[in-house]
Amino acid sequence: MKGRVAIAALACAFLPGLDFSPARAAPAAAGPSLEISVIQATRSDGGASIDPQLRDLPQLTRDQPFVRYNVYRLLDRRQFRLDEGKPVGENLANGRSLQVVLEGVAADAGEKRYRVQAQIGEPGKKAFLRSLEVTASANQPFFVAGQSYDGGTLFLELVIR
Amino acid sequence: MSLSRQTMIELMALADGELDGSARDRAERLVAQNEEARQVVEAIRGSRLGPWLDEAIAARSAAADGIADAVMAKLGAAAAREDGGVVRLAASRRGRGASRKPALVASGAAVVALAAGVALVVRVGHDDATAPAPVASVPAPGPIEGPTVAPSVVAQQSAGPAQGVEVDEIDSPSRGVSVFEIPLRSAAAAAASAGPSSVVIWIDDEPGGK
Repeated sequence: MKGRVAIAALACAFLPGLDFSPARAAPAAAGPSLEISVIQATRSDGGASIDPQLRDLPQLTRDQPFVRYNVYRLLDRRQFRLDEGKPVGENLANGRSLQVVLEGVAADAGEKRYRVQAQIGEPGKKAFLRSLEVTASANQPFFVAGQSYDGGTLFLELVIR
Repeated sequence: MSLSRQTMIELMALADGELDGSARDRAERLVAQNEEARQVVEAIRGSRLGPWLDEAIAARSAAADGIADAVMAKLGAAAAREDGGVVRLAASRRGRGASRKPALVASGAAVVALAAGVALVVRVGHDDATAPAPVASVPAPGPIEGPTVAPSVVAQQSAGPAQGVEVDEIDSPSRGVSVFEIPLRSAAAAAASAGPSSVVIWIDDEPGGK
């Protein structure tokens, strides 16, 4: 527990202004929120296995690049209140940090479209992802994958709720 | 004209340089002694045709120059309209919220090729050569790193409804990037109609990983 607090404190020191606190019990009507799921994917000869908490992702057994793996495990899932211009972040299991900021909201054909920018980095090292800009509607997930971790690969699922 | 037809033929051959030996000597002697023969040879050799030829050639050259000038003028006008040939992103790319998919589709490949200097290639999956390829990918730079040329990618998705997830920019220095488009509906529904789609942005980690 102390180690976890120390890591969070260290990350906050390197990335000032980031909000690593999950959910913060924000009222649902206050605005959009960002749900981040950290998923570990591995390839096993022992048979396929998908975490029951990932049952809402049929893509895992259907589409590339998911079908490269057959074992999926949810490592962490958190929800953050998303305020425009205010970055939120998630400490990843591999020591890196994911930072996401809502850059703007617009209406497209009566539907809200959220423009977010994401970064993945590690203090003192070259950024893994210097900048990713995505525009998405609510409840439409997108994934950032490819980071190696513990014999597998991390899939980060980001959904604006 | 006092010259016979046969003599005229020989003079024409002389003027064209087609005579040799005794026939050439005989024709040259005739030209030297006979004024009419000399005029015929000169006329054939171009002393009289020359000016006409010069005028004709000059006229044709002028016409060709005119065509070239016209073409260059049109090219110049077109270049001026394109702001010196520089391909610019649509202003809407920096806009907030408006659907920028058309601009991205039109300019994405140009930006990748011209600005980032990286190739937009299709790469098959690592494990399954028959698997669907990513929408776009940028291979990681080779082991010899250049002068900090980061693979900044403007990726685009295939045409679809505006409610899909749009990837506007990916900047991941020194790493290979692939973008996979995935349907959010079931496979059958996605095949039947162009439904909402999502993306997987795949970024190659360091060899060996963590």
